[in-house]
Amino acid sequence: MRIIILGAGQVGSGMAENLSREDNDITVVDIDGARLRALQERLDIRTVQGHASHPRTLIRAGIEDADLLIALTNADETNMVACQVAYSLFNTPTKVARVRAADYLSYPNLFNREHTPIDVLIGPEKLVTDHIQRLIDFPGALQVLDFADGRAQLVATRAYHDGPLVGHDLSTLPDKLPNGVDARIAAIFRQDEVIIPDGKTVIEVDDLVFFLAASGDVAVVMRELRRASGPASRIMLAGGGNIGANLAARLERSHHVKIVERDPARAELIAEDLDTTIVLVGDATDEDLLHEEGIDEMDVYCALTNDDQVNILSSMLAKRMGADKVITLINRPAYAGLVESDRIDVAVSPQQVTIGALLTHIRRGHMVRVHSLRGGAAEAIEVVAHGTAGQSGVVGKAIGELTLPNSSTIGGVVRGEQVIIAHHDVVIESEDHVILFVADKRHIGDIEELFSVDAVFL
Amino acid sequence: MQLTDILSSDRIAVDIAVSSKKSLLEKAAELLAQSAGSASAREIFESLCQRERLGSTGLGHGVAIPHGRVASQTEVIGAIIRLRRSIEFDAPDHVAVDLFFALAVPEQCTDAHLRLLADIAEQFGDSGRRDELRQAGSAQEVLKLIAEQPVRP
Repeated sequence: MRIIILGAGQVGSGMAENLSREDNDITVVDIDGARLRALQERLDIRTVQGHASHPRTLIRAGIEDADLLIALTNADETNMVACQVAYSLFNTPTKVARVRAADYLSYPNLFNREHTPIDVLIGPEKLVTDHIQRLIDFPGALQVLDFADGRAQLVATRAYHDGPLVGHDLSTLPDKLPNGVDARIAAIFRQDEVIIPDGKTVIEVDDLVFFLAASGDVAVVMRELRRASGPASRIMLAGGGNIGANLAARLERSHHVKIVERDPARAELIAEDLDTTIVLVGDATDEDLLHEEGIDEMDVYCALTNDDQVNILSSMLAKRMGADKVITLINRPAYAGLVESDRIDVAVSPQQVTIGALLTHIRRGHMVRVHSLRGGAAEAIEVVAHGTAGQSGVVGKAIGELTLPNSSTIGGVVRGEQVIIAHHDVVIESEDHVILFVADKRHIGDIEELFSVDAVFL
Repeated sequence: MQLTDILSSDRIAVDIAVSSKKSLLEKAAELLAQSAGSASAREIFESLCQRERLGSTGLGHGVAIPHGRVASQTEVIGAIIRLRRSIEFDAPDHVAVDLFFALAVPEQCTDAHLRLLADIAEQFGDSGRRDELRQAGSAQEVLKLIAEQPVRP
């Protein structure tokens, strides 16, 4: 595919890196020549320096032949105008733009074809807020990824010695689960090794286990892997920016929420919009403040300031002082991989969350959802099967008959409202949403090929 | 339905130059939109692009049959493009493509449409026929070649 990326910032560079490893022809546009040179030294891409929304810059970047435009500059307005130019002058088939300002995003009509023709709108703050909210919903989970409009979820959790399934082989799982509850263990990460499990695989203490289940069954399945932790009730948020304030607004009806904000004026502003949330003015790395506000009784502590160092330090402090689960927002990709440990339970990278959302629209085939995992090394995808048995490599075949790449498993199938957990004898039908875990993303191309329809599919 | 019923010489472009899959689909949509029963070029183009994403319409041997179901299309319309220089089209045999038979099909497609598509695939599957189409000197000659071989019932 021919792809133009506007903006060589963190997400733009991350996307270029992610996509240049695949069979794509990528051009990155930025106003800053030094940034482009740095990127070009590392990656096999083309770069063009210039104003990203100017037709002339876009022509130099090859817009006339591009299949996809991804607008990720720092300015919402540049991104929006670039998509308009691409649509009106160059017929670009798919236009994706990041728009940050909540004010624009609150008018969805603005982005239809007659006005600002953006096919896919990425609002990172909402994505990150949703992501963290799901992590709070399931205190035992390290990742919670939605599929099929939330009907099914892929969940990552650490196996503890007190989980009934731990130390047993997976074939015993169906007997342990209550009637009507089913789940598929999609992958296990043990130290740095990935295991694609079968019935004989035995789960060990400390394994990182990814499983797929219907959303209503997730809590029950998780109890097989670790002691039951009740729903979170007390939440402390550090940082009253947009993510912190929105998260507080969503959580305050059903949780006790405290939010620590450094800037008194900002604290006053968000306190006006919030109802039961307690807004505190102070420094999230202040031990005394955390102690006074009962950090040891918190079920979840989320560090959401715009300073990575503050987030990391305050999270480590909170964990040491007794907060049960600690979630930390980390912008710099290099830090994100570094800190997930006993000290910090979950590092959330806005870049990685955004990249997953972008990949959904870049992959070939009818992709509904793509989540980027483990620093981009793995992906979880939801893809729709189309065609008849003759036209598709998967329709009409049982899951056990499919030749999947080594690192991949099918977790389940969503057929209409129904979540069907993958077993060897489940036969895939046209229009099924198939949920796959791909532990090594180099195999994504094989998956795309497997699910593509043949030339005469109408 | 015969292939000649859906073609006309003004929808056959011989020896044109395009630089990419995207501009080929744009050109195909323009040709297809010329007919009275057709939707707009933009609508057809978007449908062709969407269909390619589900899987390439490349048949192999340098031939492809880009097609799509189009909401405001009232009848099935065909167009033929022969390129001066072939382009990458993600064909199953990885061979670059120079011969295209494009189709715009009404949203409610029928068995007749499916048979039509299968017939085109079959004609293009014949290496003799491909050679003839590649050697034809003009749009009229291409149309004549297509007419010479009536579609099997």
